[in-house]
Amino acid sequence: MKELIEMIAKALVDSPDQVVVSEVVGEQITVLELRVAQSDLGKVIGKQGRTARSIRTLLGTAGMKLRKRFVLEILE
Amino acid sequence: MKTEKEKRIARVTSFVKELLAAAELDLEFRCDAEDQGMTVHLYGHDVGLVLNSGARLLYAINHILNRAFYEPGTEAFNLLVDCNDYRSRRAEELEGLARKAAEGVKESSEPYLFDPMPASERRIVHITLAEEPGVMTESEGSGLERRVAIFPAG
Repeated sequence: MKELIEMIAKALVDSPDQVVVSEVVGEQITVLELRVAQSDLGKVIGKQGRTARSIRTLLGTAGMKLRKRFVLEILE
Repeated sequence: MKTEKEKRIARVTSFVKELLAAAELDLEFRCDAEDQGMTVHLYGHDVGLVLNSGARLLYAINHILNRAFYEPGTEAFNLLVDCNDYRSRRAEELEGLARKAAEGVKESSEPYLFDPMPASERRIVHITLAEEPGVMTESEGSGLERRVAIFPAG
């Protein structure tokens, strides 16, 4: 799912070269940490968090199929 | 020479392909050019996942595409995601619900409150009842909680 978050974030931001996603794989949960340029934070979060929520919906569905739990953390 | 619109449709097409593959969803899609934009039709094994809980995933994918391909200062480009004709089936359903609820409001003189819905669905309710005598509609609440209310009028 790292590639999924990476490609979506790169498509949303102004500075795609500053998009970094790292994956922390746990037994139950895989945490995906997304870092973007400070000025691009609003682009990945969206108004009232709508964009972040949309990405999480997609991640949740993908996880359901794979019977895994993915959590997206947007790091500031 | 490809027009700007054709280039945009090609970019969206390759993005959707990559997105569905990366999310490991068992879905295929077809892109249709429209007068002022395009529609991405999803179909295949995982349509149930796209349409469950009020088509949450359908709206999520649509939102991501809208944000990713938003180009300020260019001509209007409406990017719609659809799945098994969900949009038209839901519109028909909402028109029926709106008319029925409006009758109830007229009989009881009590307001009727819909469940929260996305903007495009609220719009269908407003338009359906725009010319309906004896009732008026408004949206209230914010974000995910925004919902249509029908009030008695006149």
